Amino acid sequence: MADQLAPRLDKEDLRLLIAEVLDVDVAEVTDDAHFVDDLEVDSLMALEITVRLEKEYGVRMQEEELESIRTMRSTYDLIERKLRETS
Amino acid sequence: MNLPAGMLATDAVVTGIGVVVPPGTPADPGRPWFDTRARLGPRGYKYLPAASRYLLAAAREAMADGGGLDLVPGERRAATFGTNSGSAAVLDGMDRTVADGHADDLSPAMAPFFAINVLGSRPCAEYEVKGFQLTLTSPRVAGLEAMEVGLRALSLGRCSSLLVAAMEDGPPGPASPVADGPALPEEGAVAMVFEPPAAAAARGGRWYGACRARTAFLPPHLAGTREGQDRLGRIVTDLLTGLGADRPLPVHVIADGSAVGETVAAVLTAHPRTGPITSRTAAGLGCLTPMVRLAGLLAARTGDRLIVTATAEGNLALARIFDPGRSPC
Repeated sequence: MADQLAPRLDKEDLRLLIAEVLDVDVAEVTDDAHFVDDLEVDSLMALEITVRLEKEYGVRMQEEELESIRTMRSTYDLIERKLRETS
Repeated sequence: MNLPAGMLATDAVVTGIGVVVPPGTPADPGRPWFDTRARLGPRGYKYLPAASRYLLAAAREAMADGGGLDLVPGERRAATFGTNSGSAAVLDGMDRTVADGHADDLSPAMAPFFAINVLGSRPCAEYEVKGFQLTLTSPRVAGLEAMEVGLRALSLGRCSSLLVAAMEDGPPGPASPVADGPALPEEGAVAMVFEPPAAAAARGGRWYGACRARTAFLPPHLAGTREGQDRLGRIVTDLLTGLGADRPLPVHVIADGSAVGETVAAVLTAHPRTGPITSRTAAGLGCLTPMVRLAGLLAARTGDRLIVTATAEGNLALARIFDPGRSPC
């Protein structure tokens, strides 16, 4: 899967955004670091990530999609798919 | 233990003090002075409002200073907080978010701070305060009122240790005039740990003194009238009785230049059970200044004192410091 989805989704920008929201070093947000198990994300912070993603990328998450926001990689895939659906 | 005149065995002693305020006075809103990473740690405070950060830093200082909670079960620990503007910046931000966009844009992580009681939740979680936590917001007197309410519960045996604190952050923007004159926003927090003197003595703790506080209300429209003077005379007498003030004590006044404040000062000056007004401090826009003054007098071990604050809104509070000596007899 391409790491670049022109022009709106950049993987490293997404990584920076998640690191900023979670108040962690960007190096901790590896592709497969589990938000809950590795980065101590609770339900409130999961909602915070969701709101920031919706605002940043102009997408609207459905409730059943929130479980995809569990790692950097799965989050990227979710945003990519949402952007593709709306384009 | 030999207790000073007016002090009861149920009066709690202050075993820890933490003061986190900007260096110098008056406050200069917007000037950075609190380094969250240096004061609290590198991570975990991003979604904590400024007032809560100040409170947490002050509470940590007070706890480290006192060091007496280890022997008290969490269910017997309590906290009472006072603030007037602790949530102002958060609520302003929420208003701005909704006005500029949509309620869906509100930060979920900050949303809990819509409730003012949540401002104090972090130190309560950190120190396992499971007894009760209460936040009071009466104009200018909320800090002393938190002390009054918390100490009443402690004296009645509803808890075994008490964290009392005042915190402020703002209000944001330039200083705004209140009813009878300008006052400056306040930033920072003051925290004090209270314990029964017997418990503190049993663990070999030392203390700064004991405190008691009482609050009252004078309708502002009565300030300056004969009726107001008479009513205030009775109120002050009741408050002094509640404080066990049976002899003239030096008085420290924190007032805002309002008619209420001046009337209270005049009544105190003429009252047979109060001593001279030894200092006057300008009140800020919150409840922090009286608590800073109280903490300073306790730390300086100035002995028996009265602290008085009265404001344009009609709220007034008196607090008394007892000096029971540093070590038990």
